[in-house]
Amino acid sequence: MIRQLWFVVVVLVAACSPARRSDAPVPPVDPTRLDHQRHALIPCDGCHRSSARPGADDHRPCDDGACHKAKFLGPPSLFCQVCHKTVTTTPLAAPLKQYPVEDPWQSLPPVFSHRRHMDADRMEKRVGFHVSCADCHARSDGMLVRPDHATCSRCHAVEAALAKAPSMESCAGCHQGGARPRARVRVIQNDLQFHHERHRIDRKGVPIKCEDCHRQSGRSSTYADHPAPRIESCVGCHDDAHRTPYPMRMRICETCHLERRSSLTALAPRNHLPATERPLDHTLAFRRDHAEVAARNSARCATCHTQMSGNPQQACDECHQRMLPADHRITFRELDHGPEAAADRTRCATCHVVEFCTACHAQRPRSHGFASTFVREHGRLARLNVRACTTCHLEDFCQGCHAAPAGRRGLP
Amino acid sequence: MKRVIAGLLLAATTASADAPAGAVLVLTREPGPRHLRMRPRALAQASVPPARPRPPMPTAPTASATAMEPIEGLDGIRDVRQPVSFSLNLGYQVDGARPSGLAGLGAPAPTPGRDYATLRSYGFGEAFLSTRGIGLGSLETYFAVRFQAARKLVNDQEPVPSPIATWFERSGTELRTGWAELKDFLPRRLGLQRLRVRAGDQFVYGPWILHMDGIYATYEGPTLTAALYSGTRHSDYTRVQSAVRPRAAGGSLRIDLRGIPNAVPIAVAGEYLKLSSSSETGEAAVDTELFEVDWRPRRDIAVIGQIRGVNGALANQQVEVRTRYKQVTNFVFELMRRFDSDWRWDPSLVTRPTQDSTEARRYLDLGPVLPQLIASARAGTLIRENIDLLGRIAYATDLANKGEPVNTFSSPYLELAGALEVRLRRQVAFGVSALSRQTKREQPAPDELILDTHGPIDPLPRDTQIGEAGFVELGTSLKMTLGARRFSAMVEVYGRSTTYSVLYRDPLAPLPTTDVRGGGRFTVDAWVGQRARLFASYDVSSRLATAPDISGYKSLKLVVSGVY
Repeated sequence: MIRQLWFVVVVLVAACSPARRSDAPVPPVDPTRLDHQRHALIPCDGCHRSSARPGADDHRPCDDGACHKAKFLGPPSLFCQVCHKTVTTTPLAAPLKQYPVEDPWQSLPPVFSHRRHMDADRMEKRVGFHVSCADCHARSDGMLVRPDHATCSRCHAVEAALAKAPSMESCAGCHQGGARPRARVRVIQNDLQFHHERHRIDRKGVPIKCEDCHRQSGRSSTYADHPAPRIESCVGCHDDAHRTPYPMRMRICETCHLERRSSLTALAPRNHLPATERPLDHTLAFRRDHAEVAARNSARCATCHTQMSGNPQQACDECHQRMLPADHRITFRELDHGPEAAADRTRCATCHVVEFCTACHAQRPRSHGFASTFVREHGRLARLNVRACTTCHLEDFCQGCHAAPAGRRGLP
Repeated sequence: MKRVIAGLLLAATTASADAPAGAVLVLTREPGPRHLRMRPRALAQASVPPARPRPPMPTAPTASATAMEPIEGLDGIRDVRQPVSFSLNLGYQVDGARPSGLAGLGAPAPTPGRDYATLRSYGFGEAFLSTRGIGLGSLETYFAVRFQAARKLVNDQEPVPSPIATWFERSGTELRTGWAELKDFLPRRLGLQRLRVRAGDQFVYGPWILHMDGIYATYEGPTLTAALYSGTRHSDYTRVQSAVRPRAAGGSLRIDLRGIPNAVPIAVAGEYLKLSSSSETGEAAVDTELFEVDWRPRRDIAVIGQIRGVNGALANQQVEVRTRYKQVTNFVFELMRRFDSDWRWDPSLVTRPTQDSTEARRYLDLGPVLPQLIASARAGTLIRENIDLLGRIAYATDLANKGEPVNTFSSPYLELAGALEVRLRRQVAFGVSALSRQTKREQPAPDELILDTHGPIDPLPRDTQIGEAGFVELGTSLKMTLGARRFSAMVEVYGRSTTYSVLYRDPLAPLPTTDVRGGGRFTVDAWVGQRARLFASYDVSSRLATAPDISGYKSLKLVVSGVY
């Protein structure tokens, strides 16, 4: 026991050592990517003079004498590819890259808290008004888009003079230094199609709220914890006949998918099914290893499983009075439970106390028939599996007769 | 006077110099946000009518001991936090075994009604009631009652064996659980509101799942959980509780550092249970100690180690590693080592039965507890969200000293199991399963087999030789469901082949060494609205090699449930 405790202490000490934390990965060196750090001495509005791409005004201000004038007068180089995909002189062609860039790295990443902006009380106290989703995401033509600088300017412009809100003149108020991987999770990708304008009202004309799908948005503090809507939120409406017409139901793949998948994948995945279906994690493995989950949150089980009243401390007993393991079939009671108990009795003892066993084992089995005949005829049954006899009868019981001298015929 | 006029002229000249040439009264920029739909403060603070309480949003589906993923859309099915929850099950079951007209292995062809009852029927029911905040805001109660009505199987006042062994032979009512609990009734200072006191007939989950009549007090904080309990042990399935029942007392302490920011992800727990001696069963007092370390270095990895001692001696060690990849792929590795000081079954059964014919456990000998090591691994995953896979492998070996024969009570075995379930259509799933366990026992050489001579009493084989050699079980199922709490049906067919150790040889009438049997199960589960449920199952088995005197077992169960 002492040795075991020492082992546990060693494990504890090892476990208590500080966890190794890996630094954020460094973005790969890309000579065609503008390095903001090397331009840190220049004010932001020295280059970003308008919402257009810096250099859009005939390469101004990049080709100023104090900056990159020499490179603009020289032959095309990698420097040109900061903005252009390629540059050729004969014929002159210089297609532009997308702006802002959409590569996996984001330099000077902005910070934005939906939670802070959607907190009506807090906004009222700080700036005297509050905003809703459409204030930032609705364009003048009604389309829902991602907000840009112009949208932010409505409130954060210097002229708005909101005392406790960062000003648009202070770029660092939102854009922090360094670079980070672009964390953007998109649900609408590949062959999926989605149109916000078709999701304004449901079948009966009831408005669909933004938070019906974007449930996490109001609680996210950063871009990293701002997940895309889950498929389950689609299922809630698209499997409800009161809210969605049949051609748009979840079982019609073409509602969302442009390409109809064939064979097995044509079946809807489980997360495309309504909540009344079995949850995604209710796998065969879960059927065996659900004990901890049920103990931690039995109320969730009780949502569907009726044998549970929602009392965590009663979860096991109340449910398993009726829900038996899959192998507890009709022959299990009479024949199969013995080998199971012999192989791993701790599994049986999880549910059954010893009184449960003795309640049956105290009864005379049907196979024993009448005592007078069974005493004479039990041999064939015993020879098939003597082990079954010894479960109830101790060795001495058998040896009372079987230890008799060989050749003795029958019993008295 | 001239000075005054000169001053006024100077002032007028200065003012005219500061003024622009032409006065511009148009704003050159917008005064504040133009498109922002400002909301007056009063509107923002307008009182919102209280909404109908929504059912709790179920939290995370976790397939293993790992973190949670939100699952949406489950609300509205059932609210278990209503002040009163009530459910009632009423059932009726018929078990039967028809005679085949053949003689059994140990008896001539039985006469139904005289040698055994071909049918046995009984009614049963369960009632569950729980309340929250009824009468007293901090009071919670829970009651579970089980009752049954069984007909005595007698023939000319003599009891006859039932077709299938079961403990359902007595009528009566049993209070399985009934307790009242007070929580959040103390001042919040010092965290006293976390104290919970429960009294009554209850289960305690400690080193052993203890069913007791007593009192249980616990403090459940985010980091510290402590509990103390005491009472008398409640014997299950006996219905008549002895007047002299073993007393149980214990406690637990758990420190969970996972709730502390930047702390090590570990929880340490210690449990103690003392069960007093029982004059009824002859068991001596038993002390059980349990020490557990639960370490979760990462979100999807859990390492749980347990050491259990019985009466101060090391009895059992367990290590369990659970890992998860994504949400539905799980791996579980378990290693358990038993020592000969472990419980024979549970703390209420530690010693071996005696020769006393009046002893309650006379007909249940589980053999001695022998040192044993069981290692197992299982893995499951969901492919394309429609193909469900599960595999398991287990190996057990006895830790007997070298040279000692393998004991039949702890024979080494290798177990392989697997299951596959494929959803064919949205409502239909097809599954197959397989299980094999091959046991290693001392096998006598052919010339050492006991010659079965008809008539004389033959010698017995050695203990180390008896038992099954192994079995293979195959099963298949077809399920149809229209959704949870709606309608589902299942058909299951299975077969099992058991091979026994060959210990005898009989040249005249060779004995079968393999027992092949099969069976099937058909279940229907239908909901009538959200409150009533109908359940029916029919089990049937094929003819049994060990019981040729009957044509197999049959069982029909009907259950009606109501939920409030």
